[in-house]
Amino acid sequence: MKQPHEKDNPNGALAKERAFLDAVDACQKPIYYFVRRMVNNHEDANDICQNTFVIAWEKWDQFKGQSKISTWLHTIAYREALRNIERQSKTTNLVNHHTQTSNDFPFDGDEILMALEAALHRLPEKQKAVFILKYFEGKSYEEISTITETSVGAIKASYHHAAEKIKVIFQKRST
Amino acid sequence: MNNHSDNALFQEDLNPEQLNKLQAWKNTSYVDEEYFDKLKTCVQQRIRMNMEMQPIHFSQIRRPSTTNKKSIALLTIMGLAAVFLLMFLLFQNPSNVNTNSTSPIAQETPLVKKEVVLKDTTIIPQNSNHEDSCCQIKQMKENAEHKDLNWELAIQEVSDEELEDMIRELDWEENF
Repeated sequence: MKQPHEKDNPNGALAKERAFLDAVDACQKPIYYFVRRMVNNHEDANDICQNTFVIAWEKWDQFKGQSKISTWLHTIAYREALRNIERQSKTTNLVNHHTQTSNDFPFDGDEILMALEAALHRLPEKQKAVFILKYFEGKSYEEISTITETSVGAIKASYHHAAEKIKVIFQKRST
Repeated sequence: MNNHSDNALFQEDLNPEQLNKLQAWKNTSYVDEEYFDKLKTCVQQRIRMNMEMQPIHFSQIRRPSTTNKKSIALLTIMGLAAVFLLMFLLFQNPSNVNTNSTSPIAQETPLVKKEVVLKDTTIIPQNSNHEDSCCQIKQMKENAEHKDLNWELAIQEVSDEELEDMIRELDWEENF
C-alpha cells in the first residue's frame, strides 16, 4: 500500500500502514459479523467488509481519534450495509429476498434459532442494527449512538422494541 | 466474536433452555477462521490497486496536457515578442537596412558613392570641349605635383588624340 507522499515521508506512511493493518486485524471479525447479521448473506457481507476497509484507508487521515477506531469502522460499515440493503430492495422483490436469505442460515435444523434469525430480519433496519450492536457486539448505547448517528434515548427505545419481539417468538414456541 | 452476555434482558421471561438457545444464537460462527486471512489480503490488494491507478491517471492525462499547454503558450509569446521586436527595429531605422542591403535596388541609389568616385578618379567628361579639357589636365597635373594624386589614372579617361593635342599645347605654352 503505497501512498503518493511516501517518498517525502516514508516513516509516516509506514506507521500509517502498520496502524491500519492492526485495526483490520482487531476489527475485521466484529465488522464481518455485524454486517453479516445485517444483510444475512455472505457474498454481500464480504463486499461490504472490503469496501469498509478500503474506505477506511482512504479516509484514514480524517479520523481524529474522537472515538474508538472500532466505532469509526462500525460507522463506515453501517452506512455501507444500509446502502447495500437499499440497493437490494430496489432490485429484488421483498418476498424473494427473504426466501433467498433464509437458505443462508448457519443453523442445522434448529427451528428456534432460524425463527430468531428470521425475526431479526423483519425488524426495521435501524432497529436491527441497534439490536445486533447491543446484543451480539456488546456495544454501549453511546457507541451505538455514534455509529448510527442517533440519540441515546432513541437507541434505548429501539433496543427495547427489538428485545420484545424476540421474547414473543420464545413465548410462542413455549406455548 | 464478542461473547459479552446481555441475557439479563431475557432472564426473567425465558427458561434456562431458551437462554441456552439465545447464547447459541449469539455464538453462531458464520465462516471459518481462514476467511479472515483472505479478507485482509483482499483488502490489501484492492488498496494497492487503487494506489497504483492514481499515478497513471495523473501522469497520463493531467500532467502532459498541462505541460503542452504551457509550452504552446510560451512559444506563442516568444514568437509574438520576436515579431514585434523586428517590426520595431524596422520602423525605428529603415536607412540602416538600405545601406547594408545587397539588393539591386540598394545598389541603384549611389548618391554618396558617386561623389566618392569623382573625388578619387577625377574623371574628365567626354563631351567637354578641348580648352576645358586642357585646363582640367593642367589643374590635375598641378594637383598631382602638390597632393600626390594618381596622374596616370586620370589620363586613362582621355582619348589618345586629345592627349596628344593637350601635350602639344602644354609644350607650346611652356615654350612661349
